[in-house]
Amino acid sequence: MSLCVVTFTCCVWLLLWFGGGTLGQPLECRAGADVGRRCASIPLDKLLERVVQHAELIYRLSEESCALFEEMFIPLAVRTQHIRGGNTCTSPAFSVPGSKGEVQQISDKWLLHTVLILIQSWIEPLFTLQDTLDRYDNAPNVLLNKTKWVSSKLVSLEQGVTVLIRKMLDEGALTMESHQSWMIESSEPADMVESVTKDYAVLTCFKKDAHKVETFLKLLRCRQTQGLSCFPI
Amino acid sequence: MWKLLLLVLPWIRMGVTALPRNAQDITHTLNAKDDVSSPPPRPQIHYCRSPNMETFTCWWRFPDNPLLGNGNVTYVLTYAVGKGSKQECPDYTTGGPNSCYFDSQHTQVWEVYCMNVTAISARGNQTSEEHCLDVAEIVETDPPLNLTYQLMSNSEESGSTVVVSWQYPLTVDVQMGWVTLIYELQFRRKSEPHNWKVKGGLREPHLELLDLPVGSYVVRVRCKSRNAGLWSKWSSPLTVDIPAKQGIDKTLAVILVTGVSMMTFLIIGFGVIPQSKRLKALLLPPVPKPRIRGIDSTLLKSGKVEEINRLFSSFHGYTTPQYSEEVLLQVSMDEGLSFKENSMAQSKKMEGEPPPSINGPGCPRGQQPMQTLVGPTCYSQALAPYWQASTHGQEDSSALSPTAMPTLAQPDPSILHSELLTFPALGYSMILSPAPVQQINQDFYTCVNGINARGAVHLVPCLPDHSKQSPYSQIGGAADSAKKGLTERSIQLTSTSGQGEPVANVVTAGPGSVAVGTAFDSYATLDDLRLHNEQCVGMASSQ
Repeated sequence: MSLCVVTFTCCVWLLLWFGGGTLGQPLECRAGADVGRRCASIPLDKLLERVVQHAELIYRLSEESCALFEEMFIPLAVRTQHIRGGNTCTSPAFSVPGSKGEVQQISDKWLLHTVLILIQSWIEPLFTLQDTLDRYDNAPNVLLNKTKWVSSKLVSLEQGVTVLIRKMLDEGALTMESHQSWMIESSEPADMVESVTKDYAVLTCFKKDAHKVETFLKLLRCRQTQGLSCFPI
Repeated sequence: MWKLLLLVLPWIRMGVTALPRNAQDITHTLNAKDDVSSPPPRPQIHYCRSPNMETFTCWWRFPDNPLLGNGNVTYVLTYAVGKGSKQECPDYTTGGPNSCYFDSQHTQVWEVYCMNVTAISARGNQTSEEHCLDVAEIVETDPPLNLTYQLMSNSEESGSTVVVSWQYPLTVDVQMGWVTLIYELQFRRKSEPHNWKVKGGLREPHLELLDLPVGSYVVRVRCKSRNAGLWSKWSSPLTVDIPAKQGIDKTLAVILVTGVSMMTFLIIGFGVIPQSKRLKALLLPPVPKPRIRGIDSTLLKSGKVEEINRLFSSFHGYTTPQYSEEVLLQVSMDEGLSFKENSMAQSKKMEGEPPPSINGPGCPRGQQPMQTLVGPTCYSQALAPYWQASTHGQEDSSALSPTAMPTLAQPDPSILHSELLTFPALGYSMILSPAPVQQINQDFYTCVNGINARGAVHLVPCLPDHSKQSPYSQIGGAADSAKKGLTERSIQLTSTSGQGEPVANVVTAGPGSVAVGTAFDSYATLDDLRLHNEQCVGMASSQ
């Protein structure tokens, strides 16, 4: 009896010891060599590249959606007023670095967290936007498709950044803080004009934040690939 | 006049003095108007730009009345970032007059700046309208720098490939990715000033222009932030010269072609000249001379008799001429027949004879019994000497009747041979020229086939097979056969004589059933024959 138990535990230990090497750390996929192999993780530079490309794509789509929306719904006068009259884009609770100097001084951790929060804060508003756009009579299909596409891509970007955090910072998955979305404060719009104005604000603000995300991720990539040249002298 | 001037002067003075006053009044009124009725001109922030998304500058101006610059006017620009507090412009000078420069410390990207400028002058303050901006949206970079090009050698294709490369503006931090640039290249031929070709959407600071034709081109590049919408100014243009590299190839090709063609011409010339005659014959074929197929004219010219004989033997009825042999057969008969050769000499004795018609039957005085002859004898067809010889022969002695004739040297192929019949009894000989025999044109000689008992010589054309039927066997006792042959012949002749032409004079005389054949056309006439016949008959009858 004891022998059995001992052997069993020994086997288990051996298994754990040997398997731990393989089980504990996911296999890292190398470019080209491991096409057929089952690997769980992607190398860091590749991951960063993909994330950056995602962010670029999202920004471009947001820009196009905004332009479409402007063309369809926003008259010229309102556009200029919107630019001059200030914007009501509410930023998250924490301050997002605005200048290059500030950004360069921020650590990777901070950058990653900021990016993640930004992404997460926009997932829900974009979903809402889709609903409102569907309600419009003459919203072009192109615009609807683009916004849908952006929403889906944003979700995948969030996943990518999460993986990046895990890789770079060795942290677990960051649970989403209950970030108070700035969309909650507004109630249902009374009329069409208000609705349109709100949607326009959503699109423009999202475009801005997409640009932020893209820039931060590019800085991260620069730091990863080129090292010290990305830091201020 | 003077008085008028004097009168006017004070007015002029007044006018002059009044003018400034008026002007002042005007200005005053204007000012008064400005002050009262319309506000002083407002400045306007009309242009803000950021070259690299790290700093930016704003300019203002007076759109309504730019001339108004009298007095010191100071400007104060106040701005607020987002919902922050108002601040004053940190730098009024770096950007030039009427500008405000925000350095990197004072620049916040993705934040909305709302600012206005106040013009403080003696007349009062004027504040512009509020102008809001986002730095990320006003990015207008400097143009790219250092345009260069490189020619790629391309021997196969017609055009050449040019790689144009440039540098991003140094003020932009592209490396970090703070600003991502996108480029646009335009190029045109130097000769076409407005025909620009656009290559847009370039992400790398270089471009390959493929298959550019030979010529001179002008290239320019500009860039913009991918996240903003403002293109930079154009870079300084670059001149690209594509050389005519094919010139070398073309000259080589021309040289090769000319060389090869010259060589071929020389070869043809040297090859043709010796062959000129053949060429001439080829190009201008001569008129063909008459020739017999199968007979080479050169062969005949060469005079080789054996070959000619061989050739001609294929012809029907041809036997080799023996004119070169001068065959003179001396037939010595037992009966004492002998030939006489010299026919020509004998002919002289034939005076008084009837006209020398060969065919005319001579009336030999002497009759000799005809004997069979020894050996085949060939007669020439020149029968005039025959006759003469024969007559002479009879005159002379018991020489042979004219039937046995020596062969003469020259055959005369034109004369049809005939049968010679002699009638010793009658005392004349006749030549039979049977009509059917005339068909055979190629027979040159007549041969004696035999002599019948009465002495008539049976002459037949000399055929190659005929010679085989030589009357050798008939000698000495072949008189019967000869007679038979003769009678056969005579029968034939009689049968055909009726039909024959030209002249068939059948004379039946005496015991010998001999018919006289036709005479030669060329040598005899009907009258002659008749004469002869009459004579002979007369003679015969006389005997």
